[in-house]
Amino acid sequence: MLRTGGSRLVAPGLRRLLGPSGREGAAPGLSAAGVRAYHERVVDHYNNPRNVGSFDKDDPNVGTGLVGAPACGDVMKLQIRVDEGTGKIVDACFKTFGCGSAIASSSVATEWVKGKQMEEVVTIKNTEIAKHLSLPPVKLHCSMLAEDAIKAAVKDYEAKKAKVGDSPAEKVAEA
Amino acid sequence: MWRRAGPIRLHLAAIAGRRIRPPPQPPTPQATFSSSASSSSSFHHNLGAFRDSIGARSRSLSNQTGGSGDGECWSCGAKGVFLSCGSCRSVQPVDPAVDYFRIFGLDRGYNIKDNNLEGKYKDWQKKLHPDLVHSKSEKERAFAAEQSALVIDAYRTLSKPLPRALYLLQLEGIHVDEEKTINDQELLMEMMEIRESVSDSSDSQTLEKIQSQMKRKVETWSNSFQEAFDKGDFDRAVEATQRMRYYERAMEETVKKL
Repeated sequence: MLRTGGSRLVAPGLRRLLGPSGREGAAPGLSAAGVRAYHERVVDHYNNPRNVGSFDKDDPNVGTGLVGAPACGDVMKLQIRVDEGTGKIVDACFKTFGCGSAIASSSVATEWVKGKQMEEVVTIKNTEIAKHLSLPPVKLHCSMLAEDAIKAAVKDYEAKKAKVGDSPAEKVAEA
Repeated sequence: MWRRAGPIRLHLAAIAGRRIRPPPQPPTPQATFSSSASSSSSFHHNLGAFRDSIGARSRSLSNQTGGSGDGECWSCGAKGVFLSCGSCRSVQPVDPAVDYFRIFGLDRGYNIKDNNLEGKYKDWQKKLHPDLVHSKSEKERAFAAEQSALVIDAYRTLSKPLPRALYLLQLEGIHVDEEKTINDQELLMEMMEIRESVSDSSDSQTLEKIQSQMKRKVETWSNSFQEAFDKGDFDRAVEATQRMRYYERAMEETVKKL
């Protein structure tokens, strides 16, 4: 999927966006026939995804974001582990079943959220992820998915904390 | 496949306008949508505006075509020609009012089982294929290229349940924004588990089992689509298409591994 997609979808102009890196020529998948491939960062994250895995979703310090894009039937799970005292995200992981862009977007997202405050990560925009990976327009929804997954994970964590805050009262009520 | 719909949507405008619906009815579907904000956000329903904008055009269209939708042959003047002229065999220009179902002689609807689509498709290509008119005028060659492409699109769309379902929704003026993130936790959790078990299993027996489960689920949701669509419950119809997409996707994964 990754390669066939890339050959058709990446507009020539997009590759120019990555000017600063200055490494365009080294992009793998650029065949002799001049077939355009995904940006090397997508390929890198696809081949060596960072932070793949799962945390216990019932752990009170873990927030889970589970989102999907019906266009390709993708599923993306992004989890954060939060330090209760500081509200800092100490660890993050993801599991994505989808195309190369979706995998790369969620991989980047986990890297970006680590070590940051929750209120900081909810401001991460899909356009930043898309720009970082030079995603073609048809793949922008993959970066959108990653943005939504971060937000959903933070929301889940906050909902959990709110629940934990309530539960002692419930216990009293039950007793 | 869904993307191909770009040019078709223009045709649809004409089609939707030609459909005769009693005027008091149009507000009803819209009311259905506003009542369920959560799922209506997953697609745009623009039926009302759609109809308004095409009203004038649809009238002129039906005048042109004498109401039947069939025109006069541009070459020999024979009446009632459709895609290709029965008398002189000239390929006709694409009529934007023709929908895919009509090309295959079908009533518009989801259930089109056992209709020999492939046979009809081949019959059309025997009349419309650009190779058949290579010695004709440039004008007719252009008609053949367009008609032939249209018939290919029609065949691809109608021959598979999901594209057919999405096309029917489109004909109703409903554009499903498939790029919008969904949050249906139940479905996503289920899909996560299924996709994990597909990627973890290597023996063909397990994979085949998952495959047949997915096939059944696609069928179940295909039936739900028909039921919802027939009732005009477009929220549920859209939900059914999403389910179909996910289960089909999982099925494709098992195929890749088998």
